[in-house]
Amino acid sequence: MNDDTKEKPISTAFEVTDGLYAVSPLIENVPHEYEYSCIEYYGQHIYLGSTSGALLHYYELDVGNFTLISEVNFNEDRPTGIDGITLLPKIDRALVLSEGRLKMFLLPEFAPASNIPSIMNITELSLLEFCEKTQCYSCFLYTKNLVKRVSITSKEIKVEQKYNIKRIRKAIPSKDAKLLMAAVDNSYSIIHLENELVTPLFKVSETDDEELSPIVTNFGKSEYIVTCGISNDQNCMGLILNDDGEITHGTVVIENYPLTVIVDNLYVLSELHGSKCLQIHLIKENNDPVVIQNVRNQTPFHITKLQTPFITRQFNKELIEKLRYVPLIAEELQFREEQEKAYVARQIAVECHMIIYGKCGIYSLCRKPFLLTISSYGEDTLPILKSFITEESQSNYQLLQKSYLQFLYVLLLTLHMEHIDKDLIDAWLKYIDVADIRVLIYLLGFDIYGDLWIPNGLLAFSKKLHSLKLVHKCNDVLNIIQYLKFQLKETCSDSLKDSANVYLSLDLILLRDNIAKGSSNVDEYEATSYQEIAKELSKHKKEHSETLIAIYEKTKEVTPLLEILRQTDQKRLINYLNTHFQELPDTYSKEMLTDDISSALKDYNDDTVSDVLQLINNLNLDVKRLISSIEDPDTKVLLLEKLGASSTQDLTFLYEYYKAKLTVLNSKLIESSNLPITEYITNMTYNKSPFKEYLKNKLGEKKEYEGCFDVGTKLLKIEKALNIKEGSIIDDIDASFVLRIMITDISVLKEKIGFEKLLDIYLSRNDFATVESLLQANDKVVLKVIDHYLSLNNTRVISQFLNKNTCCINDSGLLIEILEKIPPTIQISVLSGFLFPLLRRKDESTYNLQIKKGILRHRTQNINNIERCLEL
Amino acid sequence: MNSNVTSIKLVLLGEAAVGKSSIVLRFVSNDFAENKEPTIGAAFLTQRVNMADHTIKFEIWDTAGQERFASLAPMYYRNAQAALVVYDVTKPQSFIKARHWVKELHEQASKGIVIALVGNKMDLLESEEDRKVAKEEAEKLSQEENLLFFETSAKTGDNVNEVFLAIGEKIPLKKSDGSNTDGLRGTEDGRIDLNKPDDTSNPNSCGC
Repeated sequence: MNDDTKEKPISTAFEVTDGLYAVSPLIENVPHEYEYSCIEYYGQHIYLGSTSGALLHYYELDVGNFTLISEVNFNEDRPTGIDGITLLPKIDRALVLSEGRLKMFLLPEFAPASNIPSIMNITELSLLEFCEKTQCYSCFLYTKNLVKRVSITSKEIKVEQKYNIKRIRKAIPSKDAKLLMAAVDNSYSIIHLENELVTPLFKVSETDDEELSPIVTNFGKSEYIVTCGISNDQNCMGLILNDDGEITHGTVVIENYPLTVIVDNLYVLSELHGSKCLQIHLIKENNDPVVIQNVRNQTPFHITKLQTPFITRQFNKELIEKLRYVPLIAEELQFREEQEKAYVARQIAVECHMIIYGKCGIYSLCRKPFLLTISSYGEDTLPILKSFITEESQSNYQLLQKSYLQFLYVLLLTLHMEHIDKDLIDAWLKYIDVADIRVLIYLLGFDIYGDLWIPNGLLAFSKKLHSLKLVHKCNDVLNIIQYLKFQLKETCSDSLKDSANVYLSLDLILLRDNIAKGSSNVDEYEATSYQEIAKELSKHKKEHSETLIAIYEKTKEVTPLLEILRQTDQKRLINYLNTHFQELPDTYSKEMLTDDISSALKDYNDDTVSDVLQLINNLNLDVKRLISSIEDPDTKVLLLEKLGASSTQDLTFLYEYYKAKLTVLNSKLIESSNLPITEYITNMTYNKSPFKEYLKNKLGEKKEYEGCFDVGTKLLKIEKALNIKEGSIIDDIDASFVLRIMITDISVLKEKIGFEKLLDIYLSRNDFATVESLLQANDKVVLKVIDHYLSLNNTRVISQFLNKNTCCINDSGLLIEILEKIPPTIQISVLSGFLFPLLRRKDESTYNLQIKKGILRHRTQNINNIERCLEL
Repeated sequence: MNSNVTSIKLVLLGEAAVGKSSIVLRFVSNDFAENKEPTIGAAFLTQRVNMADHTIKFEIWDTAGQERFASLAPMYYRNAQAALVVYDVTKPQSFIKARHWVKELHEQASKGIVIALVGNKMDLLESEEDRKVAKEEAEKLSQEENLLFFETSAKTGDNVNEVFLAIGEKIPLKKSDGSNTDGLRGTEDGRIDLNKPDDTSNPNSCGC
């Protein structure tokens, strides 16, 4: 370490203006006693050459931790500056050029290869291709008088061909190695090696006053950049040429004459004279090349482009944050986040091609990955993205980055396209593998099913887009959704990730629209969506019961199907049970069946009852058990009535049921039939209908009447079956005998209560017709009836009764009794209809008797005559 | 968009500060910048012009006028199909230099190169006294050397598009099979679209 370095502290601080390139330290402390002239990076090894001939070898022991493991001099005799290190990695060798002497070194130890003599008088060399077959490198070696094409193996350097071309100071071979873009003396020239023809193009230094070091660098695959100028301190031109020597781009104006020019894609990096500043130009079509960034340091430094890139972790943190997937709609799980970070970290492999080095240390100079440079979501970003996403990707990292950018591209398209239409859908579908189509659905404001993950770098942007209500850019959103679904099924039915949830998300949009329109066709949806669709439709069960039933039939979900039938149509439920009794699930219990039957029979009609009976038959149900398990008495009675009650228990149940029911019905009937009874009794029209008929006519439409009639009839049957002879409930509740008249046949009633009582009942109701039907040839009865009718003080009633029942009065005594009862207020003319036939009949009878008497007398006389004749 | 695109390599030559870059800026970007920095080496720009059913892509090499870069000029006019030799109508010296460039082009450049002589900075002529290069003189040179001739103002845009249109019309266009034909030039009735929003050019005008 000399005194100078002690006095002037080494600045390791780089001043880097905002831009694409970032500087990151690899080795911050290198020996300060040397001026460094070249560097190479090979695996975990860094080889450093100095102007004084020292060769330093660093090894990366741990990640990012380099250790100096050897330091040798190129030339032991005298210090000679190292001009260049050229790696020959395929044969584990390196060529080191120092002041015209080219020496082979072993890799990775970076020790001189023994038994391979150095080659002298070399001014420059250009490495060509490696031949796998022969395991040798081809290389151009330039001397003052010749260009030699040599082959280099691990054991020897062999001259293959010589070209008689002199004074090459700097050269770059074309891709096919048939020509050189070279600096010959003070001119840049194109050299055709085959015919050794040198075509001068223009001067390196525009004046003869100052000699400038020529610079020739590859620009892309078949172009070169060369520099020319007036002096080291003045600005100079970088000219980009093709293989024909034609200038192909505008001039790159460099602040002063550079020591080194490196091309990195469309960026030209120039190490300016003095080596304290690196100027970076962007070459852009239709624009003058412009300086986009500067890297400065107070301590001189150099830049080099490595033969093979190394992987830098410089941007890993930022990249991981951008590229890792996070839930847009999903549960955030810590372990998943860690997994994602680890996954992305494994994929990231940012290659660094450039190193800057000097006393200040060794640093990587790396262009920020493209996705980290995107700062604008403006429309102008679209073409930039488009050009990037169409490039071929090879590594996982490139694919990951490309996927991110493709995702961003479709998001930007969604933002900037005037309309969200089929073209946009097509764009999304093009990148369906990387951009979950549900994100588009999310952006349109619809619900999403399944977990939706997106790159973290796009999360905020996506949420922002979501808030913009982009759905308004759709002229016909339903049409778009239908088109999307159709295209998904047509083009990516097999490859669509989480397809069930994607289709479900789409189906639900279509479904909700259909619900709004009041229609829903099951076939429109995916089978995988049925469950959620059913859930959605269940919110409007009444309106969409048919669709729900159709869905459950398709999904063979019997339980919810039964449930909806249960709620909407009991008859259909029983019908379904009948037709699908073999498919009923185990969960469908006997209790449920009992409940369903009970429910169905509550509001039954004949078909329902018939279906229930058939179901009982189909399921081979134990009727007794079924009936006993039914709690609802009405249903139980209905079943007993249909199936027949045989046990005393059932009969007793029925009896009690009818009894209670009849009591209620009867009391209601009495309440409602008071008026008609009085009306009937006071109606003295002799020809009025019988009381029973009257009641039927008056009350027939009343359900109580029907009920009483029905229940009473049944009750009587049960009483009979139970052999209940005394104390019928009807006796208790029917004091007025209205019910019994109504429901009971008169002969039965007569049998139960006796003729006398029966006659009294009908007499009390003034039921003239029925009383008449009860009349017997019984004088007492007739007289009783006449007494009652006379008590009514209605001449018409008594007269009509007598007129109509003359036939019953055969006895003279009776007639006399009747005549005696008739009050004198009743005129004889009124009774003529009754009396006349009686009197005529009496007259006829007397006359007949007299005839008979005459005949008998005549007969007797004849017999006497005969006897007398016989005696004689 | 036309599928028949013909590229024309066009070089601008002329003394320093005659307005070469300004003419290009007006043509390419319809813009003008005062106090433009002198060009170093050359700038390269492109502009597409639709002519009838054809598109011409002008590949424009805007060279530096300073003497320092004169040696580079052959690099730019080599293989050029058209050249604009520009002078400043207020600077007679620039016309002399223009004559020199015309001569060099005839001697060194490709045969058949279409050369347009362009007198720029017409906007500076407030009176006839301001003019230092007579139009007749320039016209005479044009006739003698078979040049197109225009007087332009890059500042106002006068006649700038017409220069390029005239060049486009004069250069035989490529057929889709790659062969050349004179028949594909824009006719008088043919539409000429400069693809510029505020195009004020008159396609039928000619400065010759």
